Amino acid sequence: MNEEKNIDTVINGLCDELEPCKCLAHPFVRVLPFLGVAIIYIATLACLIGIRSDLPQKFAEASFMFELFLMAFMSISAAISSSYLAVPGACEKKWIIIPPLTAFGIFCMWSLILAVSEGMHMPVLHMDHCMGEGMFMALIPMTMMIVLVRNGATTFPKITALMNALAATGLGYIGLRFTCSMDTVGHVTVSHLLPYVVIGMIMGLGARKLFKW
Amino acid sequence: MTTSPSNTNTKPTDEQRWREYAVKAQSGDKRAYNALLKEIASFARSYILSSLANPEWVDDITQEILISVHKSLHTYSADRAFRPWLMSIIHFRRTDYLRKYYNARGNKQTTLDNADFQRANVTNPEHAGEYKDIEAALADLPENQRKVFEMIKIQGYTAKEVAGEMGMSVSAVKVSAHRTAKKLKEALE
Repeated sequence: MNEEKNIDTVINGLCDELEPCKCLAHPFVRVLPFLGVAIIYIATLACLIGIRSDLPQKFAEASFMFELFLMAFMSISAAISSSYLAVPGACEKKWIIIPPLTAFGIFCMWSLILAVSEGMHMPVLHMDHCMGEGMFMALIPMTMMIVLVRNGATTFPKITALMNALAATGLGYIGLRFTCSMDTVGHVTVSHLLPYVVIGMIMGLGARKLFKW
Repeated sequence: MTTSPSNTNTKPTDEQRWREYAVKAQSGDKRAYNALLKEIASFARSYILSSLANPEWVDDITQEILISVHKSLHTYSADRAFRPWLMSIIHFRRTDYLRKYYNARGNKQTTLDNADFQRANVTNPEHAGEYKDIEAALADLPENQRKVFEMIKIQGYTAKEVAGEMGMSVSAVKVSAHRTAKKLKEALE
């Protein structure tokens, strides 16, 4: 009886606090500002850092274009997944995480094949160059992703954090490929990809706190 | 107190009613919101009760669920089903509550000489000494037998895990635990 009173008190309190609210837009609509701002931000940053001189030639290489399209697909699909996962009831659409994870898996396989064929040749790590620029490139996309998810109420914080990290990774990686002219798989994996993987892992560990609601 | 759902010839299902209440609540209808929360509270209580080790947690979790529904009301969209949205919140809050509870409890240990523990956990002080009797009876057992019993009955390992740890067969572990329990029972009678 006492417990029922407590519940009634909570209900009455919540009813008193009720205010008309605008429900969240469709996940596709919510993800559009992220993609727009993130693409403009990375393009601007790439121009400021300096586009690699051999970019026109690289566009003619099938393997370079394959990488770019794969990462773009991963990033966009991960951003859409984050948007879906940001609201309760996402369990109905849990399959939505499969495309970005598959793209990431294909990318890992692709890197492995390249590593076997060309060797993990890593002339210079460029710790001060690629890693720093990579962080800058991921900063705004990552922040926007976190804000997008925090506007909702995710019931899958860890998976959502993973999707956020993949979305920012894809865009940051593309940005770095436009600015850094070092194409060896060792450099690309360690300097371009590894920092994002580390950030993703840290985000995953703190996901419950980050997306607490 | 409740607002009536849309007039249809057939009685609306929970799903239809909740969806209608939620949409009205989003536009600020307090009566619909009150009805929705009451129905959710009743549903959540009965749903989580069967899955909890301690029925006393039900009300705490139900309150958490109601607060979560309130905080995330803006994330519900009328073009989606209400029940999966609600069930996600119920599962999330229940898991969250249990995780916090077990994390806070951790591996708290105490001795049976702790007077506060005795007062809080031993309901009948006349039988308080029985805990010590059990410990004494356990201490009298042969080393291996005691270890098997403690692992399987106190620490919660499976017979297979204990068998692997002790280098025994699974059936030998089960027999040993059974015999030890019998022995303890006789010693304490």
